[in-house]
Amino acid sequence: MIKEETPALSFIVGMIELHNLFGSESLYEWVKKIGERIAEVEGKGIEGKKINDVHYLPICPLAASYHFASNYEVLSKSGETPYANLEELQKEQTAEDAALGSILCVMHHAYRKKRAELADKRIFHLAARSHLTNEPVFNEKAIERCGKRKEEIEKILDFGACIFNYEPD
Amino acid sequence: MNLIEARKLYARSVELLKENQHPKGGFYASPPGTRYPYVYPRDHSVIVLGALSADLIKEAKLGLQFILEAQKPNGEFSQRYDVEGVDRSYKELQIDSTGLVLFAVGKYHERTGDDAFVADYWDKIEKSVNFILHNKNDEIDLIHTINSIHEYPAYEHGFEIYANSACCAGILRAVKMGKSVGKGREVAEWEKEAKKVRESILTRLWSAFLRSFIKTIRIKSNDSKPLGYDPFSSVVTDPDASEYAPAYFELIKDSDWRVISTVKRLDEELWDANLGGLNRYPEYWDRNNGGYGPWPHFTAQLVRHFVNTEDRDMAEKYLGWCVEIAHNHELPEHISTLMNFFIWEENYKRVGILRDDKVRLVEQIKKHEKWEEGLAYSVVPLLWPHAEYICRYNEYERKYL
Repeated sequence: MIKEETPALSFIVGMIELHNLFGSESLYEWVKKIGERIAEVEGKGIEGKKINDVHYLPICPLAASYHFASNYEVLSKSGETPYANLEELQKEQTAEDAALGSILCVMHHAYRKKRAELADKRIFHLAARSHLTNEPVFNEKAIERCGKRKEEIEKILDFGACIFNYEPD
Repeated sequence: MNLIEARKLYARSVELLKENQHPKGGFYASPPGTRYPYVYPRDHSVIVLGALSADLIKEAKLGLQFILEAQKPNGEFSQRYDVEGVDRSYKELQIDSTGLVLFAVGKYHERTGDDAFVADYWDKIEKSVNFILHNKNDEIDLIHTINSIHEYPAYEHGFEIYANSACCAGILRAVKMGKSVGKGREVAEWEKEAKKVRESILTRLWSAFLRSFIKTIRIKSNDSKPLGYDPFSSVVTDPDASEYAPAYFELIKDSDWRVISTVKRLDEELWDANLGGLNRYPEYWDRNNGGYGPWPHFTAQLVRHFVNTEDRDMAEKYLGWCVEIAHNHELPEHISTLMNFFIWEENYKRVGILRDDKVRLVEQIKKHEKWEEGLAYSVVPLLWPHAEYICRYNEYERKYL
């Protein structure tokens, strides 16, 4: 039978297969395009709760919807890894790019960025918690670009899963 | 009912509407610094109805312009916006809001005959109708939603009565407006579809056994064909204040025995035994933020029924309760006994779901002057009950004073 989990699992398998066929960069561009296209349907919008002068989300809605950690664990046990070379992607990272809690951050950031642009704003993704290990992951160039300190952003990660900054605020 | 206090509450309600309209047109659901400092299309539309009732025509028009400009590319109105009209939602589809905006535009048009306004915004009206019809299920002729008036998918995911009534009424209003601006041919199909939805509300969302309208036909996916095989397929028949919606949105007269019988059930099962006033749904649904207790905007809604059915005693009982519980002539979202408040707080704390905004709600409730009197007042003032009160007070006054 097709289970409740099947659509989410299928998408993750799809990412792995695309990565296997074409590599991390193609996967990156593909999920980014998905985020942008969905944003065009949704229109302008701003996400998150504000704390001090940054925004944060207490949970990652995509990682939750895709049951990312648990589905990835299921796939790992059957030998399906990796889904993208995040370290490689991080080398090319600019201040405009996503902090890479997982490849899903690329999709989410592209979505948020497009919706922010439609609202005449820019957005910088400062940090996230890894969707697999829960460790903090930063985009140091974005942090620097926004004039923040890594320590202050890390403190927000104590209760936030994803931290970003809009300009103008 | 204390008429002097009732008039003071009316005057304060009108002031609050004016004070809480941002210069760009959006009405805050509750003032900045309180729990809901955003523009919620559902609340906003009801506030526009209040403004129309209070002869604040300019304010109503500005409010409608704001919300129509904030429409999403697909014709939907989101859960909430900031005062710039930027989507700030954190909850999924609530299609009743789209119906409500159309309904409010229709009421404005009915009141002013402003064809130019309708013509200017016709593309937005058209998009919203198409969005609603896109979510119509042709097997059951009802509109599918995830959230509705309570923003509570556990009881609202599927074909829910408030969302269906609002959407059906919204389309019928769009049809009327279309005919008025020379779009008669374009709206003929909409009218046909809306009539199917109305018929389905009056038959599928009606229980002859309970002699009441019912809340929801639970269906997870609008694409489940046939619906009987959907994993959620079940029916919510519990009393819910939103079951008055078919009459509230003028799809059926208050004098119809089905409405009379539904309201009788709501009064018997949801009138609060301790505090008076109407609860929104049964306590055992166990989602009672701020403590289980009665809500003035649901209580005020039923005044409309009692006025229309010439039951002055009940109209006075319901309207008088709103007057009685207003604090400094301001109405809360709802009130609760301390016991019910503590039961809710303890439950949420114990299981670890008392998140930060609810912690702030707790703090605000405990700071409110009524706390010392043994009452938990949540979110004061909330604009929605003030708007309802304005409408209902005017109806009561026209008939009885």
